[in-house]
Amino acid sequence: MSRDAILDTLREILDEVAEVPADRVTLDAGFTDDLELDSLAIVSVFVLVQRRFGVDVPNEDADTLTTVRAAVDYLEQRDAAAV
Amino acid sequence: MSAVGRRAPLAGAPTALLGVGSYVPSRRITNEMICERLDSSDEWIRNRSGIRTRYWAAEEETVEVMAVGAAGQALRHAALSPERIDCVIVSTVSHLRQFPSLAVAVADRLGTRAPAAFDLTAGCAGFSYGLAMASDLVTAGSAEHVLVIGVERLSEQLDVEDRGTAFLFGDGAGAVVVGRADEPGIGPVVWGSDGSQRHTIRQTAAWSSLREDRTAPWPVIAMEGREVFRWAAYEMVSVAARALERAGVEPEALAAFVPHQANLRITEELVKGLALPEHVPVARTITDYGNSSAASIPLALHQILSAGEAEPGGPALLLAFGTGLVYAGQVVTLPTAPPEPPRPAAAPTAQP
Repeated sequence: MSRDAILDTLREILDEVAEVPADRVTLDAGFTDDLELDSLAIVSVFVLVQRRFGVDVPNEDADTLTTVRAAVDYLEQRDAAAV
Repeated sequence: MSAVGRRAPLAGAPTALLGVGSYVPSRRITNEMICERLDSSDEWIRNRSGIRTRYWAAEEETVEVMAVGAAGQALRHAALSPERIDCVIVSTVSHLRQFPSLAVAVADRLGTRAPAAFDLTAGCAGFSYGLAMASDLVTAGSAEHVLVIGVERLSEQLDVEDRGTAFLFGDGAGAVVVGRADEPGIGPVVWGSDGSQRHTIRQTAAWSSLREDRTAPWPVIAMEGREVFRWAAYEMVSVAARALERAGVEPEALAAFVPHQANLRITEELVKGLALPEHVPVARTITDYGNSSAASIPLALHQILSAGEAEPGGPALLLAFGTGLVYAGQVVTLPTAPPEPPRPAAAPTAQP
């Protein structure tokens, strides 16, 4: 999956979880600081990540993914590792 | 409420819910009251859980009193006298006595005639576990009428300063009567456990810790809320889907979705995950009653039926999950609307 496709899917997920407008979901955006998600909403995001990408992100990994860029990097790596 | 496909027969046992009842204790506890002891706010609690109020038992409102109250209502709804009950199952984790069981005391107080009686421990899934067993017992001919009661008094096992749990739990009881029916009314249960996650909702210490050290703190509930939230939001969708499939019921045909009232945000995740259409009524009684563990599903059933929010005779998906972790889902045919709505008990003034 390309980085663009991963980002598009994350935008859909963030819209679904917290109605975050797609244009706010930039690579540099922080989930808590910029997108104003609380900790349960972040869990919801990774529940949907698991459903859409088939990638189980353990909470201890999720805790380190504080920005959209970190999440995209992580999912890209996990995607590559799964091939 | 659409009736499309509603009357398609349920695949399941020739058993049904004959009556439902509940006990809501007398002390209404607001978020503001919780925050007198807790560094939190009404807004934060509502936002995180959907909870506005919960009810806590007064001293006299023991698990026995609450269970008997709920069972009495269920019997009246089923129009059965207590001697017709030949099995009593009580699900609870807050009966603070190892033996004898709470079920034998409840059976005695109700005036039943020597029924089989026992407690079971399956946390917030306890009611659904008991319901599955009751349906199987009736199907097998081991019992004719089974009383299934979920009762909790978790207010006395709370750490009132724990931001993750102090606001969450309410006390109460709910009960149903299960008996034989002409048509299938209780679908196959989809249940299981994942004991590798038994640390995620736990009692902080065994009761024996109090014997070993008289100054040890009273054991309370501890929960890793984020882990549980994630497990429930992800794993329970497939459990619910399998329960629907085994009962042969399409999601759009549901007359109600009654999940364990764990947290409103878990409920919303499940609704989304199951892609339930908007016309399906969803129990959201946690807003008024908090998370009452084993009591939450029968209390929610009682509430939505009394309020006319769910159509009697239609299929309802029940889905429970809790400490263990354990889970159970099944589809049931909704009974008629109960004659008595859930109502907080009057403050006790005399001996029970």
